[in-house]
Amino acid sequence: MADIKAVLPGDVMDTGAAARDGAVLRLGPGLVQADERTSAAAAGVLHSDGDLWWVAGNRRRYVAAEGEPVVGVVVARHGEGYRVDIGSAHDALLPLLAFEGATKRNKPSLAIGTVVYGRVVVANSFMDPEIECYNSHTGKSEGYGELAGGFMFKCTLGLARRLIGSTAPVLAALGSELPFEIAIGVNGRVWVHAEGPEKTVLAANAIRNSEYLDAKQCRQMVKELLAR
Amino acid sequence: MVAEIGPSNVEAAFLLESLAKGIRVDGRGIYDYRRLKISCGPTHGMVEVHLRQTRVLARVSCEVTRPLPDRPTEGIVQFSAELSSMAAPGLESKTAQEVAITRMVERVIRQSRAVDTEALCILAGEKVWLVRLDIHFLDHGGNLIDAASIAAIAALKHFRRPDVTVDGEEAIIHDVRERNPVPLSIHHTPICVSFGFFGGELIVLDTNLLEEQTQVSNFTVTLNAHRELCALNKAGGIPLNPKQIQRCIQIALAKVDEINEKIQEALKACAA
Amino acid sequence: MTRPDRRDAGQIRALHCVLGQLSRADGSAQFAAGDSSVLCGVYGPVDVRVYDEKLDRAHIEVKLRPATGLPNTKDKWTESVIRSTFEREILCHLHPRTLVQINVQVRQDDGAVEAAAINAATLALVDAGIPLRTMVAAATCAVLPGGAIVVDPTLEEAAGAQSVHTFAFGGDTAGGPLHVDSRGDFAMDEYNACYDICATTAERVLAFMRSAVEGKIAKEALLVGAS
Repeated sequence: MADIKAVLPGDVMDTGAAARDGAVLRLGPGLVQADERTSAAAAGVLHSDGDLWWVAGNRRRYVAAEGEPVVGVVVARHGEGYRVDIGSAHDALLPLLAFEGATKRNKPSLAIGTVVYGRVVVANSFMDPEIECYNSHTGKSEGYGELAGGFMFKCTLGLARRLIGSTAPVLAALGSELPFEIAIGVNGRVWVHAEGPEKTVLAANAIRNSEYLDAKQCRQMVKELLAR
Repeated sequence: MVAEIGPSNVEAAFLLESLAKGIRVDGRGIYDYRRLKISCGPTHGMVEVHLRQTRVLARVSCEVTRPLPDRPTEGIVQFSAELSSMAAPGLESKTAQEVAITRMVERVIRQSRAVDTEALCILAGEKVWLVRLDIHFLDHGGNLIDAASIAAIAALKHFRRPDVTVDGEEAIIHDVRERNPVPLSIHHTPICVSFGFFGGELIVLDTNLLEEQTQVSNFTVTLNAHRELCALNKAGGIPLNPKQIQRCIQIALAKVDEINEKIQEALKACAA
Repeated sequence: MTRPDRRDAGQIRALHCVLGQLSRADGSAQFAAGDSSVLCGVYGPVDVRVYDEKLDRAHIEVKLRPATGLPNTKDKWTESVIRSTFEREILCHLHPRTLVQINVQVRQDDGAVEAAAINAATLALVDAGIPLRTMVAAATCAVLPGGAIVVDPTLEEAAGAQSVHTFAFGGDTAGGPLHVDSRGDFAMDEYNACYDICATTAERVLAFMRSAVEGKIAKEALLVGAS
């Protein structure tokens, strides 16, 4: 379970009992190993779950990681695929056929500026990331693909993770008041679609404002926005 | 990518659809400014302006120098307003828009003759004050011009130069600790009010970043507190209807009064 | 000896910082010691120009703008100081083929600006989540005519000093300085005295930075607990 302790870069981690047993520790994001010492490389809360340790801190700039859902914008089209901006240092490659039911003869043609919801399939520090807009194992889109209509906005990576992990109370607060569709990218981009521009703007602003509010405050904030 | 990619189709389409119904994405009215915050000090001539996310810092400084040969009785106003890479990612290349912003602010202050350059003369032909205005763009959240013009004029009004006593052929420049420094002589306060156009009858005041990236034309009115027109600026973009221009000028007149009040309040608050 | 602002010789000016206030930058921090105020905005890891691209590490770029006037040689020197200090402390190998851009804007210069810039850069990099080996804190000492040593000199004090010394330390100050800049005429014992004073001051600055960053972490962690 979570073990909460705030760390700063350079803080040496006290792995306690685990180290004494000679057990193998897995170091996740924010931790680096130098000689005999494990130290934090980022500022945040130190978490541990069994033998896995990591530092969770909020950021704005996305670094691609495999398996994560992202919201991207098509910026170019080449022979093999599209170049999609997902907010990371390098644009992602989206193969032309990485869509449900796509064949050489029958594949979607995306215009520049199209918003897509995809999944990261290749991500490492030496290659440009790659995404796909369907589940390549099942062949089904499962929600991935082009996002049409609605509105897209940016948020911090921490808020995006909380929204996806359903630990953000604002979605429940909104859902009880108005119907809406949402696609959340861990790259800090959220696409939201409600009935008509007014409700969509309301939903977008509610989510943006909810960063530091708890469940009760979220419900209150949503009520105030609706009352206007 | 580092450089801005411009708005996605979804964002641009939504913006236009909402505007057609009079709704702005950040919940404002179409002729509303974002929250304006003006902070002066601690040093003289230092003003930071926030238009919600957009942030601009203006610094005024001065030194004694020789006048220009063709203007022996006038001081000099020097100006620098470069878009630095702090304000937005990938701001390396000087695009046409960036150059336009810096030229616009320069024109507003220098060519509108807001600062009384004759009052900057110390000894004709020999010594004059050189007043330098540096504008630093810290955060590009849309509508840099308006924020910069407010920061510039507020900083010039906030600034104090050393006092000078002229005795015949000699001039004594007093240390600021011995004699209180004096304000610059400012003729009038030009303030820019900018509008974004999106085709048809869609107009907004004080474009935020997304609106600025989506607009098809842009128009800036520069007015002063005496309700005089200092400048009109429309560079490129789609052609505009003169009626729309008239309407914008009317709105700008009202806004300039509000902005001037805020500037006065801010200057009074840090008069200490 | 009275200092112009009536401080003791070993007394630093009030420290103040604000994190994450810029909307476009990936991380930002405004750091002030008295009237010396510096704003730092960091972008990274972002795309890098082909010319600067390094296949095995991130490229670090520093841009510094003075409060008034155009950047001069002294500003270029401070840029290179910040770059070389942080090139060693940023874990560049974690983000090859990218750029970490550190933008520094001096808002007000009342002495010890180089130290303030280094402190602001550390906080901005932490705010941006750029992986760092350690926090970096800097402090400045001036040796006045007559031999008195004052810490965190104002612009006026530094201008009239015999020598000015700036040191930057990592989290473990005993491990030695990460950066040293000494100018003027001085004897080794004066240098050593300044070194010791700056090491102690750097520890206080580190403690200050720690509490500032912990405040930010606590604010964010509250949500994880609350839901």
